[in-house]
Amino acid sequence: MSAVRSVRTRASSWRLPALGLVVWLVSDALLDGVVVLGGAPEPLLVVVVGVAILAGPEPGAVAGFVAGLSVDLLVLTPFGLTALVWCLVGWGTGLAVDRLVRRSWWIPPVAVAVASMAAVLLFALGAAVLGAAHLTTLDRMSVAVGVGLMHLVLAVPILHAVRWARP
Amino acid sequence: MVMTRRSGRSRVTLGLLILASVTAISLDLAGDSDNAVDDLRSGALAAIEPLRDAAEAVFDPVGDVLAAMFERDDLGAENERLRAQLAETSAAALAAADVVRERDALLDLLGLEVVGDIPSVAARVVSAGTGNADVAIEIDRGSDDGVAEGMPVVAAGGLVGRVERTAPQRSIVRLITDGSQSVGVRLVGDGDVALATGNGRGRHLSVELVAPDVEMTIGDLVVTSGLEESVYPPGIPVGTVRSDRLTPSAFERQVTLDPAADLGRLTFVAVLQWDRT
Repeated sequence: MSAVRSVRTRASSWRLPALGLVVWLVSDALLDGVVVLGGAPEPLLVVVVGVAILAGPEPGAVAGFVAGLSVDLLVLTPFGLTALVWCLVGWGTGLAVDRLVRRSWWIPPVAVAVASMAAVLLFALGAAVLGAAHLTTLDRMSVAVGVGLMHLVLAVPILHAVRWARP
Repeated sequence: MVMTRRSGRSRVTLGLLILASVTAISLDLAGDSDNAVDDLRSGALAAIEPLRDAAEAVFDPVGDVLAAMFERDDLGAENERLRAQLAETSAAALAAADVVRERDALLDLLGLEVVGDIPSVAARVVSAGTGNADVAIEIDRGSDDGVAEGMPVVAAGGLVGRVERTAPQRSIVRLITDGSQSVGVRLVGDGDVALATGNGRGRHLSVELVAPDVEMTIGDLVVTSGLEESVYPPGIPVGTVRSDRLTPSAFERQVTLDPAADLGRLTFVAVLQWDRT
């Protein structure tokens, strides 16, 4: 009986990384070129925020760091910046949702949208500190709103998937 | 009590993750152009290649439809603009053919390189870049096809950027609109040289070091200068003058360019196998 449980636990611990990889691959192929208000969707960030909402600040921060570092491997922006921003967003979202007294069905999708907007603006701030002035232009606000809107739509299916994948 | 202990552990974890991130950023920024982080990134690009190819094979048709839906409003206007542009270009091409023959003969005489003579690798754009900060595209040709880091990339209209990272069958190209990129340019009308710098995805280029007495009009063509140490060969169209005004101090002109190539809708590009040495 305990062996079966051990196999189940081991299998479920792989679900979340596998979900992250699948979400990234599918979005890379399916959503490439989709832009709203200058912003492109980043569904992997929705997974991170989903983990933070469902499991709390610490798992949110760890998920943000791992997912962000994976993204950092495939972009040209400073290595580690996405990891830092997503880790902070994961932790902050987990903390904020933990402290909510009343829970409603609309809170998780709205939290995803707000956290995504915060991630875009926090990234611009980090880039400014590192001297990448071109990433801190005024259109970042429009990009943040675009990303927030798209993530609001993506939140429902992805949060369901995260709920299933969470160990 | 349990809550406090959990909260304390959470803060320690956050602190460690922030420390790890800051260390990674420092390693990347402190390293030279060929550091361990670059090797790691090239390795990751190569490792993920087969998975992305498989995902693209399955989802690309649906993805194209989605992308087209979001761009549909612009397509009609763009079609009109392209038809007008095609008519103008056909007329101009007839007039230019003779000039090109003369220029090639002169360059031959001087032993200089013509862009058209540089061998190139045609590539398909497979990704418009990951995330919202990257001003880059991904192409389906890599080191196996003779693509190397630093090679210039052009499209039908003009300069696109240069290869920044390669894997065996994929490469990442940093676009000229990236704020960290500067291109040595020559103003076609006047022949003056200047420096064009990117301002981010979808934005214009700023041209610096333009003398106040330089004469130019809106729509003038600007090409790569190809001066010594330049990372691009000479004569590639970079953009057309979008705005031009004297600075209040009148020491230089403030010029902006619209990129010559349509960087927002690249489908095919050519990697010039050009070695600046």
